[in-house]
Amino acid sequence: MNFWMRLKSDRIAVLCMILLFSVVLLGIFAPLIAPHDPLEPNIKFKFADNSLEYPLGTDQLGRCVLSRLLYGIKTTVVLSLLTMGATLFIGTFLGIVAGFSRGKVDEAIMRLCDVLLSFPSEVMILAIVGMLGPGLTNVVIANIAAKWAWYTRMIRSLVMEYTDKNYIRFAKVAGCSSSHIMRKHLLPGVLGDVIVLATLDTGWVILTISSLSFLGLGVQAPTPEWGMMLSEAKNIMTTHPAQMLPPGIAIMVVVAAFNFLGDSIRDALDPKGDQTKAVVK
Amino acid sequence: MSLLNIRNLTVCDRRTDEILIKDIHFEIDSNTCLGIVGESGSGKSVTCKAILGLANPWLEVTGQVLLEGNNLLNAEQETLRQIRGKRICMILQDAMTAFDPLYTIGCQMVETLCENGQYNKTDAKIIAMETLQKMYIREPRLVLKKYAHQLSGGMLQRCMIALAMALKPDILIADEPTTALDAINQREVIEEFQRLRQITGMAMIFISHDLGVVQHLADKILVMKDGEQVEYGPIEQVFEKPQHIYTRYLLDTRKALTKSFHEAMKVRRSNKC
Amino acid sequence: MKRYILQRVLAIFPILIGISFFAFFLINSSPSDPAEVALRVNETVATPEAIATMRRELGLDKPFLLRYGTWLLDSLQGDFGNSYITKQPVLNEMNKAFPATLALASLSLFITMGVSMFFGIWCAVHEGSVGDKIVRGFIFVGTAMPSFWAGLLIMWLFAVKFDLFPTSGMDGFHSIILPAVTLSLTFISTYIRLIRNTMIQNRQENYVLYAKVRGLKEKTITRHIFKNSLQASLTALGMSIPKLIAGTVIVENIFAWPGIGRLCVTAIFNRDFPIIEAYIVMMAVLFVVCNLIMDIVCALLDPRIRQGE
Repeated sequence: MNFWMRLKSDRIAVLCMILLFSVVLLGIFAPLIAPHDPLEPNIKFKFADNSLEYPLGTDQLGRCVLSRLLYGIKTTVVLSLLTMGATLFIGTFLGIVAGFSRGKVDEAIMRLCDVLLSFPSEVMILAIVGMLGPGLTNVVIANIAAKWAWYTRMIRSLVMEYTDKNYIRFAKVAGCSSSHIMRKHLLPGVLGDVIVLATLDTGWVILTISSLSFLGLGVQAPTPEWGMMLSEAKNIMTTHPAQMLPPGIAIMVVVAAFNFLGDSIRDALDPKGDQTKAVVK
Repeated sequence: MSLLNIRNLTVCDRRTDEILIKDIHFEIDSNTCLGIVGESGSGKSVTCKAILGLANPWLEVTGQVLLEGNNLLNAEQETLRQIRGKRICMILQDAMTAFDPLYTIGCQMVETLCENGQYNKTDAKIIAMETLQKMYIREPRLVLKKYAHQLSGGMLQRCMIALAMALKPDILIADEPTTALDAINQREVIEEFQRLRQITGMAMIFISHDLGVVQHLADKILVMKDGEQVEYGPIEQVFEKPQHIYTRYLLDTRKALTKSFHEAMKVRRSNKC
Repeated sequence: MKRYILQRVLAIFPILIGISFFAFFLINSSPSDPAEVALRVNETVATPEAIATMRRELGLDKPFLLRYGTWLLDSLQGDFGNSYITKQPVLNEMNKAFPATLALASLSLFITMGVSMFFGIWCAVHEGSVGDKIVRGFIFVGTAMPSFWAGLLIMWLFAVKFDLFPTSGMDGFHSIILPAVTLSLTFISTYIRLIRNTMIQNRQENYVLYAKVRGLKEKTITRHIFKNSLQASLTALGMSIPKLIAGTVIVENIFAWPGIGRLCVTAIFNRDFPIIEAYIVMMAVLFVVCNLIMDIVCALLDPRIRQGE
């Protein structure tokens, strides 16, 4: 595939992919890697400096910061990926239904999307969290609810584009059933484009989840989560400002990696953009 | 010493090391017209942009562009800016996109006249109006108030010519000014160029892929093919004794075309009788 | 032009109705019964009788559409009901908090516009220079940096370490500086990038070539390019005014700034539905109206739309 070739030749993209992949692995295997229990307080060692025992020191309750960071991956990054996955699933399903059936179903789904998209997504998320109450599950639901409309619309237009292609027309004429065409022909074609769109958004979802946790609307203490850790660090800012660094840097690096990767993917998808970039250089 | 002297002008694409134009030589005196002929992509427009120092940044221009003995290729940006417009002006191929869509034509003409240091605003307005009138544009006052999207291509082309006339440059470069126009407009614009020369006595470089147009206007002719100059000389000489096989081919095609055209007309006439 | 404006204004009504319906629906489909919440926050025991009385008091026993109708009519008159907690009309609470948010948002809009225009234009003009590269580095960090972290770092540096500004609260002009700067950080990076890239793109256009041919000064040409790039930036700016106000939620909570963002988060903790409802509707209306205004401004700037039918 041409797209993968171009992406592979982009060194930054490869680097980001390796980084993100290892971050996810670290998160999944956190229980095996982490030197301590992230929840176990040890008041004797509170605010310990970096040492072999505690590579990143300890926090105000004497909990190992590194372990909390590692467990935090699971909450922050893995949850964001899950959120994205669920959003994609709903968006793809409704988008394909709308784009393929057209007519009244399409009309109804699209009008609903119009209304949802007339909110800024930040407000939408606050609204839903406000309705369901604070909590991690609710934050995930809110994120999905705020984003699906956009994906549905996007995927619908992709489906429209694909259904006009000749091989789909041929399948219709040849008498394939709608569901067969959807599964065998439309889905593989549309899915590639969609996954790309999703990468662009994952960084944004991570930021939202950790912001809400920071406000206290998401993850509840003592679960380790990066935004939550920052919120705790805020309270002890005057005495121990260094506590703000590990979670903040972790969020920034992961989000930056997703943004970089997204940009590279966009460039790889659109060779025309590549050319203008070369010209600009 | 001639007014503009181009020696060994070579343009190379730094990104691909492709040579776009190679060793172009020509010179031009005031009150003469040089026609540059060639297919699209033969490097005519690049040549002009290189002369004005406006070639894209990734292009490397070597050789000499001597304006009264001063090499423009080594000149400072500010010197070049003062030369552009005032001494060498150019008329672009695509009139529809040449004007800023957000300002009126009048505003752009006035700003050009003011910034080239010749007039103040009120004078500039009067000059703009007068030159438009000289171009036989009816209701110049209205035209000045229009935006580019409200005027036709031919009208915009005339505005560009009028602006060039008002600037009174020593040299005018016209880069395929008639390509985007329909036949009637083409004819009128060519006539305007002729009048422009008569009025101002400026030197002119007229670029076209149409030999017929060039024949009307030019004293000398330069034929380009694939970035190289294949023929250069006085117009009669080139038309009567073309040296290069490509020029001969161009002339023959033209003859064949006009011949069949005349024959077709003859047939129609005899049919009518 | 008048027709264009009229069309656009008329087009927002169905959207507004949809939004209001959605907000109402959202709150009413909440898993917790508003009557129960209203009782609980007043520390009354939620007996079935008490709930029934409360439901009647809140008008919850009427059919859904009827309630929506009454609510819509009331909200149109500015009556969003009373807060469950303070028993004050929601409008009063909003009125108290809104000026603070407005001040914060306008100052950061001002900062955003000033800084991003300056650096955007500068970077476009000096494309590829060392300065351009440094600014691009900042932009990159700015887009990936969570605003609450940036806020904390700024607070630590300027309020704790150097003690130049107060850490929180609203106490005179200098307490607005840190929140406003924090709020504008994310937007600044977006806008510098946007202005820079559109200007660079515009520089390839034919009208710029002709402007150079005409011997215009570099400054004048930059002005032409800037005005042509402005449109894309303005549309984006219009889109981000509501985002800016939504973004105050985080900043107001970091710096304890008494605006509507803080009001809303407190309301979410307290399950104070009327306030949440009013907040959503207000933000949505703001969003729609800002977009409308920006569209009209863009149309006014562009003679092609201004005079075209």
